Amino acid sequence: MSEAKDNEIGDIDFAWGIKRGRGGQKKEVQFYDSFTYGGVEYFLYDSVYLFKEGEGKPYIGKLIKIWEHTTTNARKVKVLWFFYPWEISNYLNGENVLENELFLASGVGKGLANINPLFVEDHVCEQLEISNVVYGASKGTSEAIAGKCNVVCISKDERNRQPSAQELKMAHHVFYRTFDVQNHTVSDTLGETIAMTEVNLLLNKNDFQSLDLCVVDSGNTAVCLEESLISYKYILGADGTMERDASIGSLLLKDKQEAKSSLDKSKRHHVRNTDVDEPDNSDLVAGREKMLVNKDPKGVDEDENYDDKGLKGDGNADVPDGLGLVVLPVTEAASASSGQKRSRAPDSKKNDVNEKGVVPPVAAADNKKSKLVKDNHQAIVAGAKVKSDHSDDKPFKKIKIIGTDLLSSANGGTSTPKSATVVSNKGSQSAVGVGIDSNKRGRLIKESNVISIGLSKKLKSEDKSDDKLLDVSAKQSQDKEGSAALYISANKASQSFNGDAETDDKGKFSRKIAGTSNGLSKKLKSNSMVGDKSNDNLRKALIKNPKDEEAYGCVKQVTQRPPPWEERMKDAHDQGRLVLLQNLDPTFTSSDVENIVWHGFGESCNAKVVQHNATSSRRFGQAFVIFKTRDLAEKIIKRLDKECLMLQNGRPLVGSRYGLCFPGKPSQFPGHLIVDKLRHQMQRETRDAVSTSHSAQPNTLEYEMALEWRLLQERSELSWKMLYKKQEEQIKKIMANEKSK
Amino acid sequence: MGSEDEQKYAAFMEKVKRTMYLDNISPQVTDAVIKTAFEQYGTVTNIHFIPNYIEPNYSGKCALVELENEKQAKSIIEVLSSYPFMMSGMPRPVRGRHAEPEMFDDCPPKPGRKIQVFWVDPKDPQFEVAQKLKNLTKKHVAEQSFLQKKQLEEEEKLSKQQAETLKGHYEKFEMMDSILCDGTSKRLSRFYGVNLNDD
Repeated sequence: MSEAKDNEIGDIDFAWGIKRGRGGQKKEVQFYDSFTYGGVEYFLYDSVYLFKEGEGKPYIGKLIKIWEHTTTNARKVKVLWFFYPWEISNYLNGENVLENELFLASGVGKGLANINPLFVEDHVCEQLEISNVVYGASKGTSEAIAGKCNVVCISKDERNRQPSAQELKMAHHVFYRTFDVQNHTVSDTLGETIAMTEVNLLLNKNDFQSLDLCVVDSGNTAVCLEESLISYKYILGADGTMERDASIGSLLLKDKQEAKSSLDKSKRHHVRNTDVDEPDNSDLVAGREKMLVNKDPKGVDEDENYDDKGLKGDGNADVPDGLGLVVLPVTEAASASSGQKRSRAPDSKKNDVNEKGVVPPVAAADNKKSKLVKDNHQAIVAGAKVKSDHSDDKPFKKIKIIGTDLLSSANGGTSTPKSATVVSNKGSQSAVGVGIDSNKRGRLIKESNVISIGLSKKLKSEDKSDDKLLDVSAKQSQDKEGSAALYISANKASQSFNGDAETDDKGKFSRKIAGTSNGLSKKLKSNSMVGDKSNDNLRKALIKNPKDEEAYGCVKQVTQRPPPWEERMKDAHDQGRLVLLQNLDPTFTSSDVENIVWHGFGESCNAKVVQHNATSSRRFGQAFVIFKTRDLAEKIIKRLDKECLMLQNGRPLVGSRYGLCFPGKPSQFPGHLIVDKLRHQMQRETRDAVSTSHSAQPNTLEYEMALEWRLLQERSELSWKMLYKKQEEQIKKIMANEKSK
Repeated sequence: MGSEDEQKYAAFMEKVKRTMYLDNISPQVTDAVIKTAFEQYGTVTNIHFIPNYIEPNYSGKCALVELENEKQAKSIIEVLSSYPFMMSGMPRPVRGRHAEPEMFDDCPPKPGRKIQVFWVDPKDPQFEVAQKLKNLTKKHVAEQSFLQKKQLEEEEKLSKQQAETLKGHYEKFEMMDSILCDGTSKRLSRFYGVNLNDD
């Protein structure tokens, strides 16, 4: 089925993947389902980032066709575009837009899709290391495919597989509405085809379905979702950071892959060690305390501190939680000791990570020991830490304790260190089978890892600085990397881990885990964000967030993207930032106007002089000016009204808000007549409109009528001249009055 | 720097000279239509439609058509003024004239020009004058927009009137056609003893 062609060009590893059919008149076009570039495999209908040189924000598009012309070796991809809300804000008419929402292009016309020659060039996006350069036909300059973008369809359309909470959490962007590029309308209904592609292919891919179902199955997930909803603000913030983390993680994927493999191994070990956890539970309390103590000393690293707090909180929460269900514990813990729980989540994650590394080899006894020594264990014996973490987790999960063995094992295996507590709790709660729990945990861990990738990075750096932590940190970092990697390959990795532990339960568990993990991650995020109790945590989180953003920015090579003037003007108009300046000197240029505004108001702006036409006044220039904010525009109009900004030649500047009119559908053009009965025939003729241009001959009716139009045109010309003459006189009169004074 | 600006401006003025301005163009007209229409008179090198954001109801388009040289631009304007020129529809002719610098999107600053801006002190007698001028400007804008509207109405009136005329003419032609076709004309000519043939 898949034939990898040796298509390497230059230094870039590029290979075709799965072949599709052939097409074209002579069967010279070979279609493909996938290709690999820079170590990333792109499939048909994947969403990708496309960087255009000199533009900051990457475009996002869906690959809807991939092919190679066999005779010319021209490789092409057809990209169906997504629009950012700000790109089409004129047409949104104040509708609510989700923070990360995109709009799928639809209809027919410019902006729908590009057929781009796929040109592999040595174009390296920093860190991304992926650089398929696509030359955009319509957009003119090159757009480089710069990695996959996780765009999830949240349309309620019945053809659309509804995304799971995990998917939503992991999504960089979501979409459910389309933007018709022809009529400029936004719609939330999906037609049959877009850009000749069946719509159901553009929706969520079906290979995640099982995961979704699992999520639904797990009551925990639902709880998690509810919780997440409750803390939606935090989640939003957290999601944002998560996304960034994810992207970072993807960037780091290669590096982390190694870590992943190690993680996988460790996870497997954990699963084996599941039994150990139970004894640990009793010890857990002590362990928790120890952990707390340990954490405090470790406190050097902010992340570690968080972890400690989280552990503490977890311990506390665990006791009460123990009564509740596994899922509930997480939420309950959060609610009961939100601060603690919040802190716990990250902390638990870290612990889990540690556990992961060590747990498999270490037994229950080790866990206990590790608990006591926690700091040392973390640094020295990851396994011990893992155990301790598990124990901590168990208390948190109290109810889950029975399942905790499995959970703890799972935690150890998957993401024991970081989200282990939460995960394990969830896992234990929802998990009848330990393996399942572990799987869930793994996913949770992964997610939590993703979330805490930034944290882990920070932690890593911190750990590095701290000698004590060094070993632990290294492990943690590995774990984190692993988790990041897991996150990247999210479901797959978790599945594989689960498979190692218990293949049968993998699917279900992974699904459940995913769901729970989503909730957990959200919770964790929200917790970390909220971190009211633990200000440190908050600070840390905040610190992390900017860092993540920076990293994100670096990756994307953000620069300013200047959209076409008309587009910007429409935006500004809709947002009330557009001002029409009048009474300018007609020789002013756009930059002159910008200068005038700068000198007059000390504000920068974008200006464009209105082009004259035959009926424009010769002494009077106008310019559209876009200001940064609506308030600023208001202020400037008011000031121009109340005061006088004088230009040379005694021209006071006039500013107004102008109702823009954009060329819409051309109405009937007066003066072009068609005999009704001949309309049909005429239309056929005018279809080749080029041939209809001609000079009228004097002996025709057409000529006669044309002369009537000529007359009208002359009259119009005259009336304009008269008007302007009169206006000029009025102005002169006023000026003369002034001088005479 | 100064000479550079001057050169730039001079080059721009050259471009203005070899460009003509068209209006009364049907909204259906595209670049290709204009290009093909003037191919018989010269080489069209660039076409730019002037966007109109100001007048909401003005349905006609305006365009700047750059030709290879000034001579071609002049000759085409000559043609357009001596014969009504139809483009994508009849009988309203396209109007052509010389382009002006202000019509261009990319008009460079005139060399040597300095811009002065100052806020007028409200106590200054000039302030009152300036206020009057501002009001006058607003009034003028309103006048222009009113005239534009009136002219559009007139265009529509003429269009309607011509449509009626055309309809009348067409009916007349149709009647003549049917009389010639169904043999009525021959019977009538026999009846009146008129020879229909030219010979």
